[in-house]
Amino acid sequence: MNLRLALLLCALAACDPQKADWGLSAIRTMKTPADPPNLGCGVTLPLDSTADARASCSFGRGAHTDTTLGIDAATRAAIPIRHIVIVMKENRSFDHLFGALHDRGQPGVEAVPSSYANPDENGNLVYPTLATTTCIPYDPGHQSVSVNTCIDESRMDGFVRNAAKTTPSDGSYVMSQYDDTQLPFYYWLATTFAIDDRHFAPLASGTYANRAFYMLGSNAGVVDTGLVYPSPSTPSIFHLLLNAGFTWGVYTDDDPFDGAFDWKKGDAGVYSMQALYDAFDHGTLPNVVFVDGEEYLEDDHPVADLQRGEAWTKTIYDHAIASPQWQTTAILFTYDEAGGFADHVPPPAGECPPDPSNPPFAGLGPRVPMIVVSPWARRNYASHVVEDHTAIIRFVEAVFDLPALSGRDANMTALFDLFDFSCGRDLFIPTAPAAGTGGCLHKADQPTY
Amino acid sequence: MPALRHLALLLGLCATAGARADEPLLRYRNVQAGAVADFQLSSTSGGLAVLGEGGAQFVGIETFRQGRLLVQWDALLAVRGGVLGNTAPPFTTLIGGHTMASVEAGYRFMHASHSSLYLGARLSGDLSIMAHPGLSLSQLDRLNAMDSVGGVVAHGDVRVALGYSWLSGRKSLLLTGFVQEAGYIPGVFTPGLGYTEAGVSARFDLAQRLTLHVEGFAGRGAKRTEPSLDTDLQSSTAGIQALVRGVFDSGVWLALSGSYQRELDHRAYHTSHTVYDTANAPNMGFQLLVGLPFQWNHKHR
Repeated sequence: MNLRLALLLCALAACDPQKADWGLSAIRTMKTPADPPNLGCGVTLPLDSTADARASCSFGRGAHTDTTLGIDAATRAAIPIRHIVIVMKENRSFDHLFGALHDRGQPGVEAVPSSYANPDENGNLVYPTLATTTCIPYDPGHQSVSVNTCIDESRMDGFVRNAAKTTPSDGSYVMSQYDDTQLPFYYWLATTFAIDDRHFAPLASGTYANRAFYMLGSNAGVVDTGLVYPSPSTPSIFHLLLNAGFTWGVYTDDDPFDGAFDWKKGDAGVYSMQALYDAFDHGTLPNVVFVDGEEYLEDDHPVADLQRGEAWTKTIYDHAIASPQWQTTAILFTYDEAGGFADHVPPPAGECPPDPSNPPFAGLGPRVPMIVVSPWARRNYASHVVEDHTAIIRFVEAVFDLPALSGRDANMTALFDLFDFSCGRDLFIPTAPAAGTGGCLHKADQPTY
Repeated sequence: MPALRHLALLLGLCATAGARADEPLLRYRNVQAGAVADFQLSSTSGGLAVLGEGGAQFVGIETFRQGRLLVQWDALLAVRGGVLGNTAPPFTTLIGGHTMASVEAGYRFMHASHSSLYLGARLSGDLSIMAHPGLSLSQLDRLNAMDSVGGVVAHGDVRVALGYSWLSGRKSLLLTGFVQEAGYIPGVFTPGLGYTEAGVSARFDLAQRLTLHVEGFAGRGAKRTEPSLDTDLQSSTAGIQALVRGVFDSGVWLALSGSYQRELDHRAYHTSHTVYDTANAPNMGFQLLVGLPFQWNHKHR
């Protein structure tokens, strides 16, 4: 019987002809190094004296943050973060989730201008409105052609037309925005901790390419979500961490990274969400944690109920703050891309190519939320530092002294504007509200993408 | 070389079955030339491809110089088009052209005999240029990587083969081991690669009737150093391909072929002394080709 089962499993595995082997099995036996005992407050990061050099893309693959950010070895080693938890959700723009944030607890973020509107297919202007449901039943087109339609050469006025063209609707729903009555926990995170209102998706396209950037420093040949995956020999943050003796884990009850790497449950380093909660509870977190919600249920990808995803996120938070490793933990809460939902800030040009000798098709995508949740996160702080997802791996590289994977992360900032490692500041964290309820009652039909 | 001769005779047993004594020994020919159309289905790291071709093919194996020289060749010139499933539906349309040419000339040391030691050399090249309507070749980086299928895809090899040839007027059996240098030009996203390969090949031809060909190979590329990450990368490859081509009385031929190839990478980081062995998604292909001869055989042989 077992032999038959094994043969059946082998046959099923053979049905995935494009399954690659990333050769990362060493993670199965790696032990997470103990946190240094002397970590604490009092770390002062140097003033940014290399911004001009980064802006001109002067640094390349292999560059460490001592040269690109001026953080010397002693300062870097004293940074009291040893566990970085990256919670990356799906397909919501900054304005869509936090369009009301300026007036609801964080006046530091840029408000949506009252004049901002998108024309519909008849030329009538559609202005942002308060969303009427947390279960939007449509999934607007959000691959490269669609996103560039939305951006419309920096006019940011193509979202409604794109949504009307790619969903059976008039497209006006992409102008909807939420507030703290609908998403109380998300708004609490954004007003309690530090949020960046200039965090852009690294490529004007969909999930696969944007997620590749925060693991590889490039899209590695992937432009649109589909059937193409990065080559497994591409240097990745997983390799760099293993090389340096640090551990990582991917936690999800679905396919990791929303399928971007074609990894599956059971692959090396992939664990369940319960394993993450256990790791928080027992103080056994890897050094870097990648967390993905179940697609269309917990990951906020339309047509998911945002309040269900919000509740899932709060569960992670609740375990995190109760963890014995909370004092050395930073949660980076973000979205992979804007998913075709409107945002009023045009992505800036001039991002550095991953490989300067072969600049690929490029262009940042619209803004997405980026919130740092940590004892060391600035409280009620809004940053305006322009960055993309490669700032996430640059932060990992800075904390663990790893080289840059590409020209993109080499010339990126490392989220430090969202942190305050000084002593004597108020470390109080108020009790978090429950996630919202009542926005909708059921999960709508699932789209293909 | 009596031992070699005995081995040659042994290897030729299967091919000699049914051979007639009156078959002319020194002249062998199995050649097809005509218009072709084919259907190809492949799974590559660039996605799932369904392609079709229409063009002309000139393929054959023939002896020259009283059986001293055994020449195999295959040449194709075709327009090619289809879809590449490298993104969400409706997938990526590709259209362009494809040409390939391969010629192997081998010397039969015992040309007066059915069986002979064989030493050959081959030159082979394959060029495919396919673009997506509305995008120039230089804009293909706006689409998902299609490097082994779309854009400019070219590879070639130089081969030396040593083995055994058995020949009669109607049949040819060629068993060889070979070494070759194979090269692939850079794609939009992937670098150019060169491999030193070794393999074995078995080809059986029944004159103007049938060709059976199976070939397996494995090879390794040169180390590529990436000093910025203090690492080097060495690629290796292994694959197998098989072909059956049948020729009908009318001269129409039908060919069915399949291939499987996998590329493996060995990446070593010097400072940390860590190594990673990775395997790319395999390339698998299937092709069905029909050929209509330029000179239709109305008499039927």
